[in-house]
Amino acid sequence: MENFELLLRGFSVSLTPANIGAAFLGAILGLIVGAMPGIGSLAGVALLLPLTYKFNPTTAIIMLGALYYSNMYGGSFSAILLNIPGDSPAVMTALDGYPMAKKRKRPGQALFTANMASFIGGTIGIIILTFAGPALANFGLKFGPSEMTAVLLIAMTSISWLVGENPIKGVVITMLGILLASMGMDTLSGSPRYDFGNMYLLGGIPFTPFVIGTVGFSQVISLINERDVKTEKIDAKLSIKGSILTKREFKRLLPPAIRSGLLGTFVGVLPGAGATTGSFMGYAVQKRFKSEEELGTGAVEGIAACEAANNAAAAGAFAPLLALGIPGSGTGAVLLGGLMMWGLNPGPLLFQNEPDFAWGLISSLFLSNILTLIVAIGIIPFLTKILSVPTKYMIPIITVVCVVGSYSTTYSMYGVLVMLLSGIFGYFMQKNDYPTAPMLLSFVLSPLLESNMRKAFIISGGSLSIFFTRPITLVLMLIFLFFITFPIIRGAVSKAKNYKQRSRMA
Amino acid sequence: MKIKKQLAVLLTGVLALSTLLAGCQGKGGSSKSYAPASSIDWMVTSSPGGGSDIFTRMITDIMKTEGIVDSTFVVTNKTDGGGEVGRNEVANLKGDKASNTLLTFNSGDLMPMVLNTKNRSKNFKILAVMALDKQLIFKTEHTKQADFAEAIQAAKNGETIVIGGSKGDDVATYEAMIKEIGVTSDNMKYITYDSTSDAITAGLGGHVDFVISKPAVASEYVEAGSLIPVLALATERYSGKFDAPTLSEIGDYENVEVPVWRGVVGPANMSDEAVAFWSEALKKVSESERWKTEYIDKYKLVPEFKGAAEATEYITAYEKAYMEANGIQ
Amino acid sequence: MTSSITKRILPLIFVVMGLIFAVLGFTQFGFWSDANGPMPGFFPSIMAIVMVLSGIASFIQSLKDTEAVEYKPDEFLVIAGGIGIFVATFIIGLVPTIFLYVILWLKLVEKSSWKPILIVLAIVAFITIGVFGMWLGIQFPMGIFENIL
Repeated sequence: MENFELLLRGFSVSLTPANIGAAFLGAILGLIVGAMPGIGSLAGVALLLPLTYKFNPTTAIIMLGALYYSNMYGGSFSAILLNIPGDSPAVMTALDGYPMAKKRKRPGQALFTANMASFIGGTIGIIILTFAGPALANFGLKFGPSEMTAVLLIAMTSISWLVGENPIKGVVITMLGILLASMGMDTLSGSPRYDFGNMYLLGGIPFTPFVIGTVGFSQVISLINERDVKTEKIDAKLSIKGSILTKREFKRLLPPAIRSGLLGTFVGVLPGAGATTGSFMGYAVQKRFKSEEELGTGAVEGIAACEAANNAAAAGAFAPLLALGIPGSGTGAVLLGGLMMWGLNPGPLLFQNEPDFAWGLISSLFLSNILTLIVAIGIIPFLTKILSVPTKYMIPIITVVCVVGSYSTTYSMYGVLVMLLSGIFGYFMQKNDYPTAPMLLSFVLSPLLESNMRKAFIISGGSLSIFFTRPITLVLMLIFLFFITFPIIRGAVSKAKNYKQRSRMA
Repeated sequence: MKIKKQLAVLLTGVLALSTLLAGCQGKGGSSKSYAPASSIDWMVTSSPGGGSDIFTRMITDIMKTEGIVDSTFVVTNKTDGGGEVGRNEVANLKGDKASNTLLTFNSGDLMPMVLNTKNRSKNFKILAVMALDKQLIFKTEHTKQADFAEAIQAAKNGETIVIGGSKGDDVATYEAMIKEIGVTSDNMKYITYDSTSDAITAGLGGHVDFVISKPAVASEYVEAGSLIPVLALATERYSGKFDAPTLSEIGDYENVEVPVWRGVVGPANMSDEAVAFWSEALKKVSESERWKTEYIDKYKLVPEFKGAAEATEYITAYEKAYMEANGIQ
Repeated sequence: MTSSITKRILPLIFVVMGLIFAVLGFTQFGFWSDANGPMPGFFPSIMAIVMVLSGIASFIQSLKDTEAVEYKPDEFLVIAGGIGIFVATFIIGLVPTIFLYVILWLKLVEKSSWKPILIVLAIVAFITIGVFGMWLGIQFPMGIFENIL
């Protein structure tokens, strides 16, 4: 295959000592930055970009790719160890990662699972990128507003699985997330919504401090009750050997990782959807499959599903970026800017004009993937030591991290305020049995859903037909309708069965 | 005795502190000539990596390497409230800070500012306009119409034409254009995307009929042939690959141009000497070779330097026209 | 301290919020236009109405709910700490506030000895100044010092 040959040529470019070193450095830096709550991949890449200026373009790009990639790995660390997601894709990882670390007392395994799943997902993503990159990118182009609306509707149904025992509370909190997300500038009309005359609210509520507060700070608030509990010395050996999963567990993580890897790559290609959407969808899809342990309690499948998805989405996002010059997200835009600074212009001509560079970059992604995995696994014992720090010291430390992290996302105390308020709010939610995960999911997805829906209607002139006449949209809408009606039908069928059985017994 | 010692220490501390304060006071005081502080604050109201950020860092870089200014620049990205908080903050600075703080200010910043807040350009001292940019309309391989004259005809016949573009200045240009050609926004629709590249993506996928964009972002696609320029929203044609007719050339219309400008401003309380200094410094940047090759040419901008007085006149007129067009007091 | 009042109040707060958003949405942002479909107010208003309805349902549910919520006073201490950091930053800047917070918290609340306090301070300093400040280049607010210097 031509692409394979080109890939091999790319390897010869990237496998020089200088480039390997750069990739290594990028991997480590990205891991650290990614682990810091508040510094997501966007800020991480933007802030670390200047470091790459010293090197020649190819080396610099390789380092940049490694940075971007390892950011995805790093985000899961604080999510698993502290229940504070390092960035938004890690939100779902925390759902199973933290329980596995804390309750099941297997932090090493949780980190190992996350790393392996990230690796598998990432590899799948990069392979697909290699062989089908441009084609995928072109397919992604076909997804216009109506198609995206349908995709997002399907994604929204996955919220229903996060709702838990009390559907009414789940609905309330989902709506709350939607309303909070609608505050701020409405791009389509150019005018502000729900800003209540406040200048800060003109920009809306920033997501990262919101997440850090709702999930992280509210967590810290309840931690204060645990400080008297003797921090049991984690029995599981704090060595790498002790963190390796059993064969059984490894087998368990493969299906979700592969599934999510495929799904995530595709989601990453779609316009406007990135690693965060990918991880949400990965987790949601996993809910429909059997997991040996229940999701949300520390299941291997849970961690694997979202981590594989978010790394795969990161790889998938490279497809439109390289092949079409379209940054799928803010992070992509920064990468694009970085690439352009070196006179390398992604776009339709990139693969033709600069094949060495393009394939060098892709091969370096493989490289960074492997390197990051090695580094990430290597530092597991070091990371798990963090857990043995007594809770009473963790409280002020985590509080500081929450504050500083939130500050750095908005470069102002507004972020800190949002974080504190969300934290207090999240605390009250949890105490009163309201699940917070649906709110986070709806906060991320609903603006995308609304904007795509409105764009579709503008194109169709207010008519619903656009959702049923375009082929891809039609297929997706049918899937969506199936997802909603299926539980109802199933419920009705089983009721009918019960009725039949009872009348037979009578 | 212990108390005497403590008292002595306290007094020394007070002395030291007051000397320090006096020193600070004297440094940037109201002397007739202005010298920039050793550290200058430069505020950018959008995120790192974006257009305004690149613009700012390019200027500060050139100032340093060409020795135009000795000070260190501290670039702060303050994106709160869509940038309004940062702009408001700079507008209200007083004292020494006012003469040592700069703000990147573009037409895309001015429009939401006057629309959504009470802040106005007169709350700043305008230092310079560094570059101009103009828009073009492009078609794709999916577009049914061969050129824009056909599109106008189709819209007038009641067909729906959809144009995609970014927010802010693109919208203003679109509105000026449809007014001139006499179609309603119901027939020739506009979809606001978060960024021009999102709009281009939609165009490439055939979801919008035309895309409005500034040359820089569209450049690659024009070279690859995926975007074809069909209309220049300017008073004269571009040359080279962006060659496309202006409005007056495709029909009985006046040319429409709503230029995009990139400028630098300071707080209203900036001293006149400081204004003169910075305006001059920015002029030197605009004349440097690096600026021309690494910024203007690279991003296909129009090199148009306006000093403090000219820029103030230009921006004030722009603001007035915009406010009138949108019914703002 | 136990309370079942909050269980009842929360749904009501949601209902009120939903009403505000719905009313604003309908009246100020426009609902539906013939040419373009949904206006800015369409989506949020509908969601707000759903919130009002589900909020009412939740409220009714809470009336039957006899389980009380337990609030521990210590938890409010953490919240107070957070708010304290926020307020103090405006006066003395973020970095000094953080140090002050760590010292005060560990001394007063946890009654620890100086050694652990210093270790924690070192960790915190490394993260704040080292990672975020110097390496990532983020400027922290300096409080009133900003105006003096």
